[in-house]
Amino acid sequence: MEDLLRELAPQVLAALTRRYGHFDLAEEAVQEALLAAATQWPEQGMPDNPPGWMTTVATRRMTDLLRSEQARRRREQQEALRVLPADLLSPAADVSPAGDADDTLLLLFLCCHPALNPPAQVALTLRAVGGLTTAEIARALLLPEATLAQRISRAKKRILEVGGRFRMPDDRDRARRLDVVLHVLYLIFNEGYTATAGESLHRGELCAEAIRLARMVHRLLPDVPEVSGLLAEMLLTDARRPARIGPDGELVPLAEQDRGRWNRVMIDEGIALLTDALPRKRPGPYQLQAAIAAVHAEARRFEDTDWAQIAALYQVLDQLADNPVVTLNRAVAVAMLSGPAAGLAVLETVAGDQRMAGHHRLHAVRGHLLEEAGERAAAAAEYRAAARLTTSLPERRYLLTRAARLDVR
Amino acid sequence: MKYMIMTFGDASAWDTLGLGATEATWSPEEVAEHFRSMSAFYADLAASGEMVTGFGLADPSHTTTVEIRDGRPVASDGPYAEAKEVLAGFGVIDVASHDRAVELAARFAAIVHTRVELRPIMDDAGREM
Repeated sequence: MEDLLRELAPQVLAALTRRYGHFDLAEEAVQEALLAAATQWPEQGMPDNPPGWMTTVATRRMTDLLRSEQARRRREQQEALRVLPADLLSPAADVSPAGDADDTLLLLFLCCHPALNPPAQVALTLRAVGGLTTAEIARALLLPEATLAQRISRAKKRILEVGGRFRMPDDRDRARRLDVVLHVLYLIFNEGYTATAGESLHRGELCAEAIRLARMVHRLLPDVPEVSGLLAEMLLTDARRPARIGPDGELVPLAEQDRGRWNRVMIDEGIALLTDALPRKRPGPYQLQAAIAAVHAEARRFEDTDWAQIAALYQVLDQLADNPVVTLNRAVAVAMLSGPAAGLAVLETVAGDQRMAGHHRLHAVRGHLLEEAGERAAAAAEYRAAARLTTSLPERRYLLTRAARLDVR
Repeated sequence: MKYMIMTFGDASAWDTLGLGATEATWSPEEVAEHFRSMSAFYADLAASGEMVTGFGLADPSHTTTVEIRDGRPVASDGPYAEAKEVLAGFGVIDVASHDRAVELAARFAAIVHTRVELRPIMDDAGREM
């Protein structure tokens, strides 16, 4: 039932927004219809026509909200400005009456509006498109419910202020706006994937949600290679989740993971998506990162990893992205291929980069390469420097453990 | 990302409601203005969806120290702050960037007329290496 509701939520929201305008009120109405369904269906049984039921209940609520909104405006403006009916019944002339599928995409574009900052985009997307309740999102993001509720309502107001519309962005804007949507889905995925102990149960659901939304976008835009790339990257990465945390909540590095616990079904699906997308044109960053994850996934043992291919993929990504973190990853691959000295040489090309100042990853990777080179004391010092710089508890624990291991022997 | 904003004060100055300066005694208008801007700050933070939690702390004379001695917990009164600067209150915010955290801390510092400290809160999420 929950799956059905979450599938219906964006469709009903899109229909209401298309019919009445007022995205903010429509969102509220759908949220209340969802709550009504969640409480009434288990008791009174599933209605014969769930989409119809949801639409009816949401529309009724929408009418109430519009009425009180009109009354509020009348009070405020004392008839100085009339609310024109056109504002209330505003399917813009240039919007084609498309199917539910396209509507969901329009919703995503709206929730990932560039005028919102990423935390707001994430929260609004999870609620309006994902159909999660504010309480569920708050639990997953480890925030108080009131904070999340305010964030969502502020985000909706902001969209109104900047005149965000429920329509497809211009061709010129479309690619850029799609990039934002993909980035937001990637952020949602990461939030869940990086979770470790304690709260990881709820946060892990964010991975499933991000994958569900990426699948939806992929169904709508099957010919956009970066959409396939993102979905493939999520699947190939999430496949490793059962092996990345040890029994005491510690992070297990790729080299030491029990690959038998990797999810082969997800890996196969990710690789198939990638095989389909890659030959189409020059691959973008999501496809390249997915390709790297695929090379790891194909190695049954760590020793079997095709480092030449990984180094080559990072090389392409490095040229594409101008991101020093990518260069760090390339340094690791180069070290595995040609020895730690070669890796350290790559690393030093970004050591002076302003964006790396105070970044723990630079020290973590240098520590790893120095350890490979047998320079134990220097490696331990780098791990400790990295441990001081990271704001992640499990990473700090991992780095300090590495450092301590070098001291003892 | 979450940050803690901590504000410090000279406890002896609290008696005169001057949170920062030792000698200063605030006029009733200044006191009223202080509480007004404090509420406005909290209201803005709550409205923007960046407020996680925040509290002011009781006078340091209420402090209890708890420690383990010979394997058993022992509670004792104090320490009574000889230090000029004791923790007066804290807030936790969740913001989009470090710059935004600094901006909010600066606004808070202007209201409490004293230095505030900003520290990132450790995340229980992490990436395997």
